[in-house]
Amino acid sequence: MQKLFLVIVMMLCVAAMGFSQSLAQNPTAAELLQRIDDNEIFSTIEYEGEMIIEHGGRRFVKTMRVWARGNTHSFIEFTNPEDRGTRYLRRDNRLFVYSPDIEDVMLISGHMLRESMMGSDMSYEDALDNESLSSRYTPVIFGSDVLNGRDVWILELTETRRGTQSYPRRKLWIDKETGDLLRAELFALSGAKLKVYNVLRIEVHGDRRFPVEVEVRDLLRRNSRTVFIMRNVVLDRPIPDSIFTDRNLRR
Amino acid sequence: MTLRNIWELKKIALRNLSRHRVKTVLTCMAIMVSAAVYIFLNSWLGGMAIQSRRNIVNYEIGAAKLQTRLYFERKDEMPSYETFLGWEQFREALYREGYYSAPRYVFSGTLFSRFGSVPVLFHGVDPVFEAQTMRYVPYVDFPYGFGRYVQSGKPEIALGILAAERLRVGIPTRPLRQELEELIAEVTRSSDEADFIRSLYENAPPVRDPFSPREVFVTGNERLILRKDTSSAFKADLERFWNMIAATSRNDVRIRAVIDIKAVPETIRRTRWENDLLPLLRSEDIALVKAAYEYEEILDAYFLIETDELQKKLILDAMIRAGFSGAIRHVNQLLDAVVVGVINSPAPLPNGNTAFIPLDVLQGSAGMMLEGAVTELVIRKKNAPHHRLPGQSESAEAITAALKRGLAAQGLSLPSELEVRVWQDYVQDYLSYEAVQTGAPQVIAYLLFLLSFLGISNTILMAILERTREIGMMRALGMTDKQIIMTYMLEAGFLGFIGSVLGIILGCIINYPMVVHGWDLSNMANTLSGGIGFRTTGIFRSMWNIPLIIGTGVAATLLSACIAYLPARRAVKMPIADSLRFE
Repeated sequence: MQKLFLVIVMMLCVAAMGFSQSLAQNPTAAELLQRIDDNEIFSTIEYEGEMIIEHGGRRFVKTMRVWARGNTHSFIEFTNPEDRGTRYLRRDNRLFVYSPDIEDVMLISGHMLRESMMGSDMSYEDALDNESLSSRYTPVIFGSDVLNGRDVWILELTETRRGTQSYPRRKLWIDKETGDLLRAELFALSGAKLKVYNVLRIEVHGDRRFPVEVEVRDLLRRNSRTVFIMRNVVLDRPIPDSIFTDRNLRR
Repeated sequence: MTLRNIWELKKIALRNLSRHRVKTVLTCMAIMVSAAVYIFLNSWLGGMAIQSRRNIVNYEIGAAKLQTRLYFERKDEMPSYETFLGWEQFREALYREGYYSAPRYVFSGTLFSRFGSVPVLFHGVDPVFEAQTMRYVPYVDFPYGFGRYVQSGKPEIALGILAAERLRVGIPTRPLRQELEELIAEVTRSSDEADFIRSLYENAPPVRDPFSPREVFVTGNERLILRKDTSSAFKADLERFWNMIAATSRNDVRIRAVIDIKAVPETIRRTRWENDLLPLLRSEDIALVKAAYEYEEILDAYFLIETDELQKKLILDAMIRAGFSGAIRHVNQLLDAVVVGVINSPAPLPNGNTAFIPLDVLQGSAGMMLEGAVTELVIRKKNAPHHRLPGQSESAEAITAALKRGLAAQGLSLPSELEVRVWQDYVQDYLSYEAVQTGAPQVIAYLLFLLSFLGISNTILMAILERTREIGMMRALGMTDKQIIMTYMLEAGFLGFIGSVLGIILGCIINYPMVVHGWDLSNMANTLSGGIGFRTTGIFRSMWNIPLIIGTGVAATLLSACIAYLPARRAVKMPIADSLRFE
């Protein structure tokens, strides 16, 4: 009787191991999406950024220093000669810009939010988009594919409530092995593709895999792309409150 | 003093004028120039102002609009989320009461062609009602614009000519030769077709207008212009050319817009609640909003607990009025369309970065999620004369009363959130600009007038000084002081009369070609990116302001006479004996 019990327990253990392995190989859409959200959570981040904008046969390079706390506070100071002194401060959903030319601060709101940020392929609204994807979209695994030699899951996200998201549909390519987001396509309500994000490089910081080089293409801008590079990334180091102040913006 | 006495004194005054011809002529000329400048400037500026106002009413706004109160309050932001339903019943009610009206959904976005992009103000319209109410619609046709107006049920666009030129869609009116050859290579299949297109153009004449930029061309790449021909044969040629272009993908465009939807937010972060919402709410709305939300400590956010739909609407209005961005959701949209017509009207707005698209294609997820809603109903009285500005029958009160009567006949009432506003309410900025633009030159003309009156005063003063002994002699012979003063006032009055009559004649001669032909400032307007402030396109016409012209003559005569009073009074104050001894 005892032997029989042992055999049953062993069989159950083997079955459980097999089941958990299959879960790792075939995660649910929600799990994949949650992993992406988790990867991008940080308490603070500091880095030196470089934005390379190629548009209409011309190339512009903008450099900056960035401080951010959670997904509510960030401060950007441009350091390239053409834009030196231009600073952005974001607090919650408000975005302010200080321009050294007019020596004043403007609130970027309304239709301005839809304009290109510093001539790049990203809009201000894209930059402000900070809520987790899991809370806003319903994911479905669309299939699997090979992207740049990597096996990937293709995840299709549809907004949970109609008419609530600026991009009602998204498509994500997720590395099967690492769970990294490698590519994202953003769609309009009509189904037309608007933007494509390609992750070019990922760095490992502790237990996080952090995208540090991303290419953005606004498909309505002809011959245009923006590559965003993050260098000297420091995560979770306390940042003083004085960084995210109006005084720091105008200094 | 009787009229007969004055009639007798007139002879002395006229004789004095003829005795001092040189002075008379010079003073009259000064008055003539002042009067002519005053009449011309007033007529021209008045003409531009009235032309602009007519254009605003006929081509841009209509006599009035029906909109939500909140839309009007925030109209500068173009709040496309401020819509209303049931426009059909309002239109029907207005129609019963003798008004045409047309529904519109106005939104901003970017229009992309193969050659570029421009920011555009889009108007979702009902083509039939729009043509009934607004006058720009025929200007999509020959000999003004190209193509045709949009038709319901098709994703089509009628585009302002400036936007069309920038996007290089439709027939180019001023292409460089190389641009035309590129177009020819794309749209033609034979050399005959290529020659046909080339035959529609001629070399642009050299620029003589001082306001136009000088263009320097590489040989073989000159500026061409579309031939100016109003014959039916040329119309047929242009239609053929348009069809050749339309057969390619050259007129295909994409509209990129953001659908703004207002909705009461389910959750509001505490920091936003404290910093963005509460400080901006009207004091009477704070309690309403606070009662509708509950603070959740764990998530550090406020959650909506109100379930009553009517209360939610009030909360939403309060948030919108406060400009709380959390109450507006944005959805990106991209629509494909084809340009079927190019508008070239007498008003700059429909010709600029403006597009008209059928309202029915904007419904649902494939459009702008309108579900029957519109942002405005533009209104005009049936058969309103286009050359006149709206009168009493097109006032806000009259239209509102008519609308209420029409709705009552259907057993309906006007919702409290809707209101009728007249065209002036939407163009306050322009009206202020117009006041400045028409006021400043008038001040200069007034100053000119003032200078000429000072000249008259001086002339009379000199005449009195020269004729002091003569005055003394006349007084010694029995002329009363009043008669002396009247003589000089008549003399000055005649100067003013002769000068102003000549000024009126000269002013009318200058004004005539400006009324009939106008002054084409289109090159200057184009150089200044589509306008010089007034709401007219290029040709600025003057007007005949008969009361002003007559008033100028009367005023110049009376003022001249009055201005002589003081020096003449001074002359009669001198004792007669002193006057006779005066050297």
